Amino acid sequence: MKSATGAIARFDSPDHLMSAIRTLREAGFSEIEAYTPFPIHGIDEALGRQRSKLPWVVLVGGLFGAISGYLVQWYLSVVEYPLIVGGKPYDSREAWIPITFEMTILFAAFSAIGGMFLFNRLPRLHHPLFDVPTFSRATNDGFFLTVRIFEVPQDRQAISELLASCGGHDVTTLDMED
Amino acid sequence: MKVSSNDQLSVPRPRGWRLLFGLISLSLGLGLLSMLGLASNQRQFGFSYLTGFTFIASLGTGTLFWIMIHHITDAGWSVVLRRLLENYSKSLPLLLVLFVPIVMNAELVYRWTTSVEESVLAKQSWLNLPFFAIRGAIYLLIWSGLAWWLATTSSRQDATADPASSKRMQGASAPGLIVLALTTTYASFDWLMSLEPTWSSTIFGVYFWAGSIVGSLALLTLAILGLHAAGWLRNTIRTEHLHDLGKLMFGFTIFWAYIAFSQYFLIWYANLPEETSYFIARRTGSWNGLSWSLAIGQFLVPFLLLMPRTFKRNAPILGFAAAWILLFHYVDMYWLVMPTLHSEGVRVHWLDLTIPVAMLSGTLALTTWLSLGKPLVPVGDPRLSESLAFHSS
Repeated sequence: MKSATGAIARFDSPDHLMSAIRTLREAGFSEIEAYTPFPIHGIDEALGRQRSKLPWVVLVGGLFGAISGYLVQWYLSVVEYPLIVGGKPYDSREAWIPITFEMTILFAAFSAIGGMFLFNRLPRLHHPLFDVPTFSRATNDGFFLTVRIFEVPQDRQAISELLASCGGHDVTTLDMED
Repeated sequence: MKVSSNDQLSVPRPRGWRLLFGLISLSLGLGLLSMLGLASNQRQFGFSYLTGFTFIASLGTGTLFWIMIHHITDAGWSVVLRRLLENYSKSLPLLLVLFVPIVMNAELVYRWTTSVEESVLAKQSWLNLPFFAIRGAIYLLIWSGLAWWLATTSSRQDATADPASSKRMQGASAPGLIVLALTTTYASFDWLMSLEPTWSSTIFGVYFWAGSIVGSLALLTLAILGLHAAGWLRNTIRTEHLHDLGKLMFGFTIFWAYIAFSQYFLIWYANLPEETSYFIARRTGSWNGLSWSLAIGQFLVPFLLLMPRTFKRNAPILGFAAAWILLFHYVDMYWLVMPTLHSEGVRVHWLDLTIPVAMLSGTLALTTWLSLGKPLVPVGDPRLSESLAFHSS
């Protein structure tokens, strides 16, 4: 676990927030995170977010469900406990399809939920941001930005001034755990 | 209402006329060529014609379905697409003319017209030629009426920009969809399922409908990409809209496979001789190969092609997927019709190529002619700006 220091600022509107993001990125800061009361179009691109890796997790989960669902039925009905049902052959592939399909959906959904929790590092009962007194306004009328600063102490002063110059209020520094 | 995109919203006349001339020549040329086939092999012609006709009819009903679904859900994102669908749906009356040869050739195509089997005769109160012709005309009149009312109401809104028109179309779409669902089901029973008059499947209408939905989406996607290639509507129908069309094609590809498998699976499981005959015919000899190609071509390939987000947002790949789906939708119709004629195996005749192309270019010619000089998006729709600004996720 790596300890880093960050800064947080509150902005009055999405426009202020977006222009602050642009200024910070031009100044060379890359680890920026935004907290807003509602989704803002184009903010992912402005923050330079990569697309989530979640679809790949879901793909693997779905494939696992499909293969395991098929194999379980095949193994039980062909190898372990062969029974003639409805005059059909032991290996009646058509009959494996519905459960294979359902298992695909089930495991794809499980891996989507599980992957989402994993990538978001949930469940997490406390976050350093909750110590910032005004942060609850992120669910009301506050548009917040956090910036990470590594190692160099003089960055701390520079980033605070930069945030304030972009129209940020309540600029404070905080310790952010990874 | 002012449209904020900087596109020219109607097809300029000289190029439109050239396109129209090309489509009409193609349609008439191949149509006349097909007449030679009628003279040499009337029975083959009858079956090839039915394949082409059901293909075109399914694209028309699928289009009508999408128009009404967009209305009934009050969809904002799809407003820029709706006029293209409306223009194509206006070609539905052409099917009334195209239906005449179906009735004329019925005795060569439909066994129930001449059969003396008791099980077929028992269905005579429904399966007789005059009633068949009247029913067909009723379906086609209902579809044409719905399509023309919706399209003209929407066109009139271009000038008035009256939000009440949107509400009226939305209101009409609710009963309209029910009527469309019933008529499409009965049409598929009449035109396709009655080829095997002793066989029946209650899910058959849904199967036909699922194919028509995905086929008409593919046609719309190709039409948009064609317009883009010619330089039209590029800033109006954007990648965002194409991405959503890709998602819908992906979803309805799965829906088609789900229904196709459900139909097969229940018949396979119950294993009743009067039901399995249909699939035994399609799982013997080269027909089994065609059945597999349908499973792979109509499901697996588009399923994998349309899964990644980047593919849906890439015009050449999306266009390829749409063309592929449309082709296999036709193979699907072929698979439904032809085993009745060629029980010995797949025998592709040149008429199977000329007839659908002649019919498709005919409906597209009518569509082009009816859209010349008019806006290609509903400029009076109150939700147009929402659609222009649409952002897919």
